[in-house]
Amino acid sequence: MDTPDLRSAIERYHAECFGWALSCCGRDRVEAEDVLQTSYLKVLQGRARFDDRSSVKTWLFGVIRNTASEERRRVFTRRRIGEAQAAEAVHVTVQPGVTAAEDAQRNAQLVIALASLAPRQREVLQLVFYHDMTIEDAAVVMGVSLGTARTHYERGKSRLRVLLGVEPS
Amino acid sequence: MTPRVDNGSPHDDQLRARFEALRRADHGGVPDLDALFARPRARIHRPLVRAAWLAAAAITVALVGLKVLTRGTLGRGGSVMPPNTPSIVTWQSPTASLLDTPEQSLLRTVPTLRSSLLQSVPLPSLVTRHPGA
Repeated sequence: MDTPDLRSAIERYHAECFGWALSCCGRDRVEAEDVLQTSYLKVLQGRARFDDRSSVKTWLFGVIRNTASEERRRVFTRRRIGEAQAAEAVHVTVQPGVTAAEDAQRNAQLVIALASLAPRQREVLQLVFYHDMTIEDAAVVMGVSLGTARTHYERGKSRLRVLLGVEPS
Repeated sequence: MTPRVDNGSPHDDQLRARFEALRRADHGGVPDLDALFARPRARIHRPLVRAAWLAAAAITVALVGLKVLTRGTLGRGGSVMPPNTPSIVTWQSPTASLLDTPEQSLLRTVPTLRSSLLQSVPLPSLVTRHPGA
């Protein structure tokens, strides 16, 4: 792929990439934007090369995941603080009967529940449910085997149901 | 979005709806792509910064090593001996005192041949007469 094609792919998947970057960075928006910028530059400058072994979206997600991993140790503390602050902010602003606030509270519950899962469980659930990927694609993004991804998916889903109080229908 | 029933149970609609709500909320705050590229690139050069730190550390280690070597070989006129090293002539073993025995002074006095050990005075009867005396 040449640079215009890559730029076009970035524009097409930008919103999805941002959601994935948020997940990789523990919902820290500033960190996610930083990781996203670095990832895009890697792609456009040829430091990350598309090898046609997966879809462009899967490849982009892999680049973002790797970039976020490089930053993970340094931002670990800040990420945990950010999660706590986000949860607190939601609890403060919730007003009964207001739909937007209820949505925000439910989203915050989901974020907190995801944060308590094992990292790989969180990743595979995010990729499958949030980004509508197959478990096969999620395994490629995560750099694990399909069996491993499936195991994390099943365990993570069960745990998430318990945490959210969602009964299997 | 079309549910993906191939991802497992088709009864995950509740979970999927929760993620969909989060997704909608996130997509409402997606940063503009051009603005993202225009951000200061503080962390883009991190590999260079890391390499610079590694180079600085390596140079520091090399300088310290060089300093230690030059202090040992050249700082004292080419001698590698540490300071306060005793001469081999005056050196004494740390365990030399163990060789000291009581009344050692008696043993150091070698008795004269044919003389009294008690008086250290030659006995007349035992004095050797020289032939010409």
